[in-house]
Order: sequence, then structure tokens, then C-alpha cells
Amino acid sequence: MTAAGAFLGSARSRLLPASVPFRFFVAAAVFHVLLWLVLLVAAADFPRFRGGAGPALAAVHLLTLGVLTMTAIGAAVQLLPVATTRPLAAVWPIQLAFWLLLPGAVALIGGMLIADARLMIGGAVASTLGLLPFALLLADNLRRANSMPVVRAYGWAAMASLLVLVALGVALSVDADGGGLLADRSGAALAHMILGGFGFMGMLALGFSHVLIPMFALSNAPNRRIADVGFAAAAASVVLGVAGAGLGHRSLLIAACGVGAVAVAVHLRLMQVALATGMRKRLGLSFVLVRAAWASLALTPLLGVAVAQGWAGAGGPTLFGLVALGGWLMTFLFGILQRIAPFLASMHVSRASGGPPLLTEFGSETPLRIHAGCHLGALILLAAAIVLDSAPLAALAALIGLAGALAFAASILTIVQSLAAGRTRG
Amino acid sequence: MTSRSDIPASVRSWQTGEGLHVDVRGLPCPEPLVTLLRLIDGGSVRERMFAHLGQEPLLLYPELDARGWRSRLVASAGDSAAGDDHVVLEIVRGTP
Repeated sequence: MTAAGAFLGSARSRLLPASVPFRFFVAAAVFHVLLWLVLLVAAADFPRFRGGAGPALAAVHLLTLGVLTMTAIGAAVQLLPVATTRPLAAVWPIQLAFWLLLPGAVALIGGMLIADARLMIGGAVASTLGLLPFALLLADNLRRANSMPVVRAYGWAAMASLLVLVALGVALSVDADGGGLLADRSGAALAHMILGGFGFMGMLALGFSHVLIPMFALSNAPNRRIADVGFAAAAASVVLGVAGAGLGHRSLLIAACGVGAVAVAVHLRLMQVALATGMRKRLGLSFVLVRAAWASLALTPLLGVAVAQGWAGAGGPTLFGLVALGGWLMTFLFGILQRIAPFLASMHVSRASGGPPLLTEFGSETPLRIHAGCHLGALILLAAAIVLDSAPLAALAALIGLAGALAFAASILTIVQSLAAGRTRG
Repeated sequence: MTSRSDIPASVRSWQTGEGLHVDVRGLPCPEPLVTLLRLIDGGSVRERMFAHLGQEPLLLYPELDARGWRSRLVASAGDSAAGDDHVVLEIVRGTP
């Protein structure tokens, strides 16, 4: 074995088994395909979606619980120990999390699709039980992560959001058949959306960006003091938004958008500095998606104010959800996932010709290019469908998104096949 | 200890007969990676250096491969030669 081979062999022993993160990535890819399929079914209702069980709600949760949460858990359990230099306490809780979360998500989303309250409650409870081991592992790792104070702060905020998020999610499921558990169901649903999109997922995405973006660009870690200001603003924005939704105070929601705009400005400035000072200037296709995600992130607080003030029209709330969940989070996570999945796989396989594989050996970039084009095209068309209240446009967007999702699934499948074979063809 | 203008003040470095030693333990991710690559890309290390890290630098491997450098684990966490949270990596320019 060469020195590099011996080194890689040693490195492998420190990685999680490939099946652990990749089971989450495969599930996310499948939910991604289902998301656009269900959106095709919901095309007539989606442009004016305001909540309530049905295909449109199922599509939203295919995105949040199916795509975003699965991707985030798969990436977090592998990347957090690398970032914090602290190994995970154990692997089995992640496997347990997956086997509770997968059927839980299927049941919850299926219940939403067919408006079955008992299925939704069962799915919500199973999903909560599945998220619990992940939250405990995350908490344990963050507790020991002394060298990463910014990531740790965002991680704690994400975990606190997750706890309230799942409690509200279970309450909304129980209340779905008109049980009267929630005095203000729409306010609780908005708080649930803010906690999920900006609290749990948003905080994870912003926090990990402080490591991932400099890592990809090969630049120094962001300025600590400025990053602290960004975190304080982001956390305050979520608290204000949840309070505004729960109490029904529009002024608090607008304040949340204002403070959120500060958080976004600070974050984007830090990311821009990382890219400008990084050793790697050519960041490839994944950063086309990441930059598109940042553009959506910048739009989010502006759109939030417009919705709160009633300036965004009848489709404003749906458009806000699309920009925040689809434009920002989904686009960002796919940009990151298409970058890290081949890298993680490369750590687990060897070339047929010997030595470590090159990342380019994990399949062609063509499916990823198709996915990126279809993804961005579908989101733009979906936004137009919401503004124009057009079911045909929403259906066309869903078809284009579906083509992109199939291309992305093909790309993940290629990587998984290389992993299963234990080597690339090179 | 060797003082070098291209090594950040927060990074301990020293020269031995084997080569330059650079201790990047305690730096936030991804600064260990970036510090080592800057030394290689900047031409400060001609043939060999020893990196002292808090963990095996998984993200460094493809970067070294891409630059034609090889690496070898000299001591890992838990070895008697290195304490807990201490990995020593020998990084050598590859022969063309």
C-alpha cells in the first residue's frame, strides 16, 4: 500500500460508515422526486395555498421534512465532528433516528395528502421520536465543541427551535381534525413555519456556512466579532417572528424582518469576504446554486415585510414560503450536497487502478447541470405561477422540477453504486 | 522556534533536522487546512513538513492529491508518541 493509501486507510477508520450519511441523502433524493410529483397533483391549489391538509401541505412537508431535514441530518452527522474535532458519541442513535424518521415522515406526509388526522398524528409522533436522537447527538457534540463558538451558538439555537418546532407540529397534527387544542391555529402554523424554516433549518444552514464556505473557498474562518453580531440578529429575528406569529402582532413580524435583514446583510458580507480572500476562485456548479440561494435569502426579509404590510398581493404568503424554503434553503442544501456527496464517497472507495479516486470519477457532471438548470427554472416558474395564480404554470414548474429531481437522483445513484462496489471505474 | 512571516502568529512552528513543524491545533475549522495549503502554495515548504493537528485532516487529502503532494501519518491520537487530540502528519512533495 502506498503512503497515501495507508493514510486514506487510516482516515476511513475515522469516518462514519458511508451508509449512515448516504441513507439520508438517498431518502432526500427520493422525497425530492415525490415533492415535484405531489406538486404536480397540487398545481391548482398551490398558488393560493394557505395551509390545511391536502396535496399542497404534503408537498410543503416533502420539502421540509423529506428533503431539507434528511439532507441536513445526513450532512450534519458527518460534517459536525470534522468541524468541531469531536467525534460523535455513537453511531447507532443516527441509525435509529433514520428508521424512526423515515416511516414517520412517510406517515405524516401521507396523512396530509389524504387528510387523515390519525395518520398525521402517528407520523408526527414518530418523526419527533426520530429527531430526538439526532438532537441529543447534536447537543452532545456541540457541548464539547470549544473551538467553534459561532457554529456552536447556531447549533444550540437550531436545537432549541427544533424542540418548539416539533411540539407545535404534534399540536397542529392533533388539532387537524378540529380538536380545538390550538386557540389560533393559523398563528401556530406560521410560528411552526418560522421555527422550521428560519429556526431549525435556517440556523443550521447559517451556522454550517461559517465552516463550509471558507472550507470550499479555502479561506480563513469569518471574523468572530462580526459573526457574533450576525448570530445575535438571526436569533433575535426568529424569536421576534415566533412571538409575532403566536401573539398575532404584525409589528413584531415586521420587526423580525428588519432584524432579519441585518442578519442577512452580515451573513452575506462574511460569505463575500470568504470568497474574495479564498485561495480557490473557481468554485464550480455548486456555487451557482449557493449564490442563487443567497439571492433568495436577501429577498426573504423584504418579502416578509411586504407580506406583513399586505403589499404582496393574495399570493404573497405562498411566495414568501417559496422564496424562503425553496429559493434559500433547498437551493443552498442542494448546492452543498452536490459538493460534499462525491467527497464523502471518495473517502470510502478505491480506484480499480489503485490509489485514491478523483472526485470527477463519481459520475458525469451532466445530471447535476440538468438538475441545477431545472431547479432554478422550476422555482422561477413556480414564483410566476403564484404571482399570476396560474395552475398551468405551476404544473409546468412541477414537471421541470421533476426532471431536475430525477437527474439529481441519478447522480446520487451513481455515487451509491460506486460505494456499493467499493471502487470507481478509474 | 522558527519565526516565519508567512505563518500566522497564532500558529506555533519550529524547524528540526527533519523539516518544518507546524502546529495548527486549536484553530477553528477550516484554518488548519488553509494554513497548511498556504504554506505549500506560497512555496514556503519546498520538500517536507510535519503538521500537528487535532484530528486526521480528511479535507486535506484531496487538496494534497490535487497539488501532487503525498502524506503519511506519523503519529495519531491515542499513540504514546502523541497525546489525545494530537495527530502528526508528514507531508512530502511527490516525485514527478
